[in-house]
Amino acid sequence: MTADRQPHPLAAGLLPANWDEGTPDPGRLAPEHAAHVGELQRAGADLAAFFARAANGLAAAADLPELDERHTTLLGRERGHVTLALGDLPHVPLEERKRLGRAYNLAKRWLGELEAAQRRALEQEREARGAGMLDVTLPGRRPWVGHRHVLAQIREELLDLFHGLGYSVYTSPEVEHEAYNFGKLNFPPDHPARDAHDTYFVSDTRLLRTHTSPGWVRAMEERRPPLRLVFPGRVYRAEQVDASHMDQFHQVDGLFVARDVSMADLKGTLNTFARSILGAGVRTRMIPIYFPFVEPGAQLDASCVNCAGEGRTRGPDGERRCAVCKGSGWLELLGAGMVHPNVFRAVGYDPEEVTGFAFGMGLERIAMVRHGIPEIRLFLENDMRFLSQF
Amino acid sequence: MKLPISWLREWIEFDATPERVAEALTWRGFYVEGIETHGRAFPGVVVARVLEVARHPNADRLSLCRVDGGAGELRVVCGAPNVRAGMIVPLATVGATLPGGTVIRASKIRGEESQGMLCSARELELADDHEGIVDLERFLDGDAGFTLGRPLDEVLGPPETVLEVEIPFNRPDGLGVVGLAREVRAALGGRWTAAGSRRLAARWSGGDDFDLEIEDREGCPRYIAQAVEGLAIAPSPLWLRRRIEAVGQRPINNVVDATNLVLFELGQPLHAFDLDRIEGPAIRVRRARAGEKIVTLDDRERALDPEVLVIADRARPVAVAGVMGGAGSEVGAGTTRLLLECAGFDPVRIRRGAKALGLSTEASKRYERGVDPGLGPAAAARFLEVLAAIAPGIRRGAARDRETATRPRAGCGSGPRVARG
Repeated sequence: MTADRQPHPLAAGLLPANWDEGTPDPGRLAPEHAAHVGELQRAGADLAAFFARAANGLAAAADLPELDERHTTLLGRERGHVTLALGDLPHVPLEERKRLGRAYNLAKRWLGELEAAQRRALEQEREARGAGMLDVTLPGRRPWVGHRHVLAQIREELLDLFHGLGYSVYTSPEVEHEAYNFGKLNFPPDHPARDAHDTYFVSDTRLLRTHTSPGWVRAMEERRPPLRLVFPGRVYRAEQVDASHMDQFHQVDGLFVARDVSMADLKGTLNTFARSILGAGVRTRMIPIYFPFVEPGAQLDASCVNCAGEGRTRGPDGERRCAVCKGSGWLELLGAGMVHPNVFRAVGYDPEEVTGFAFGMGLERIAMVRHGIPEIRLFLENDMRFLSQF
Repeated sequence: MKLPISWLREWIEFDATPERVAEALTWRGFYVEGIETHGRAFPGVVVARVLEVARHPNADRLSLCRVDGGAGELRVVCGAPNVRAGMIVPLATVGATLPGGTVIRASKIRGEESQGMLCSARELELADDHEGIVDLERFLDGDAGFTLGRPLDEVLGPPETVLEVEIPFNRPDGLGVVGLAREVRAALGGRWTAAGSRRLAARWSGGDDFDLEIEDREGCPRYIAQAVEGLAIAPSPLWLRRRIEAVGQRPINNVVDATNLVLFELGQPLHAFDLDRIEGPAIRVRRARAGEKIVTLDDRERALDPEVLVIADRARPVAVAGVMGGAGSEVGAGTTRLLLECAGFDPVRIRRGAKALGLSTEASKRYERGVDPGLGPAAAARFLEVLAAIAPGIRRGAARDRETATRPRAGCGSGPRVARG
């Protein structure tokens, strides 16, 4: 009980003033509620009549606003008669408290049920009425349709590009044999280069592929050169997940094997790729890098999309180091190289007869560079605020 | 691999900026991920002496210092636990700008006036240490002229530029300053310095009177053992500690720092045993026996199995070969005689040992990828040269060089590379 309010009359077993204005006569009370009224008689005839009238009012409400109003008057969480009365009961003498408390709790439950039943009835009625009143002049509501995930869009775009360059798609298993993931790609057993691929092993010799390159081996074992293939797919690494590492991500590898394929062909292909994905103005460079399955190996860098390769950006507070390329002016795009003769030997090709180039890129990386996405985790979080931007 | 430019200059003479060196290395397959500068000059940071240290009246962990910064007495509030009267410290005076752009201002800290800041090593980008205020006398071996008020950068000398180089798996020769020096020299021209040529030409030779047997001939193509006596363990001099810190390691003592210097310089891992804690004294290079155990330098007991190559004395393993030494034969404050190990091991054997124990160390990383088998004699000679300079009075003791006929399996490179100018 607060100081600025008198105890509610019901807490003293008295009826509130003017409580029943506009409520219908209790004569119309449905017979199944008679038992409740009988129960309440024990707390007093006046109270029983009060609740009978209240119940009647709820059951007879003609529409939802009226029902809401009566419900608020009686059971409203702030100022409802029953709510206030129950709140004030602790200050009532024990015997009285027992008698009234039992009655009010019963009434509260009973009125609550009545109100819910009437609400359902009114809502059904409203829907039934609305069905016949279709306003054909309202503008239509566009059905919500999804769209392709940003990675799927990039993949489609890449496959489309390479399709135009004469490549077809080859897919290979995600659970791969160690020999295909490592051995035949010129990773000798016990070779430290295997450490660069933190691997999920399924058994001693089976693993979740750590790159899409095992597809080359499978394709070359099945087919004879010339080959021009792309290998899209999901790969797995047992990495600590952070802003730039996920334990699963996507790659697209490419492989071109024929007679007299050269590094110049590789460079031309990769430049076509870079211009298609990042725009005609992009500059590229190839720097040497080591992968066991290519020799020579190269890393393709593109001029930074944020600072146009300047390494510095100008803002309101003057010039500063570009945050995207960390000042180098270059962004790492993919790895590539000429297929290692040992890989050809492993699949039964004669390295004296054929040569080939290969490249492999992470789809997430390409998407991040192209759209300036700062966080690799966003791709898998299914947050519509992110996904709907693409 | 961190490549300090000053260390590179100790070996080759060249005329190029650090950025040019970085570019040259990148174009030759050694991708330079970053360029850091240690010990940049911070104007306004001066040498000062702490005159008196009192408790801060309103804070348990702060102290109230009277400091002489050359231009009169200042009051400075300090939060470091190691500050004491008489200490020579770096003082950032009012107006100084620290790394990260913090500008020092006169302020009130918990109601007490502070007219500057005493700095830790990390705050000045001198090292990674943030345990307390830099004790300049210890940091600089007390040999610099401590004129109070003198700018700190005059005392510390020029800043150090360090390249962070990514070493590809097929180029383990790049895991040492000298290997990268060869690459820079090939790219940019330049000559070996006089000291560099001399060290490259130096070869260890010693007695044949130490009890050494290689039982696993395939696992260990070569082992040089050299005893050194008359040793006094002490902290390393400043130049050596700076070298060790510049490559991201923590200085320990003169012996350990000297082995690490050779490791990062030539790429040859070395190990020093306390000779008096080697039973025999004798060395057996063999596979571990089933059920054998060793407590490694990180104070963990590790169960060994016959896949693991160990260095043993007459009784028990004293080191996991090529991976980590044992705590039982560790060089410590009381060591007066040491046994130097300078060995070549089979990359696969070391890799299996490291995997079996779940350990990866600077030594195992190099052995797994392949250490130049020709390096041993030059590395042993270099270690003895360095140790003689920092621990005067040492004498060479018994020694033996064992080379098995087994040709070492190639590491990850295309073939063994031999140390030559």
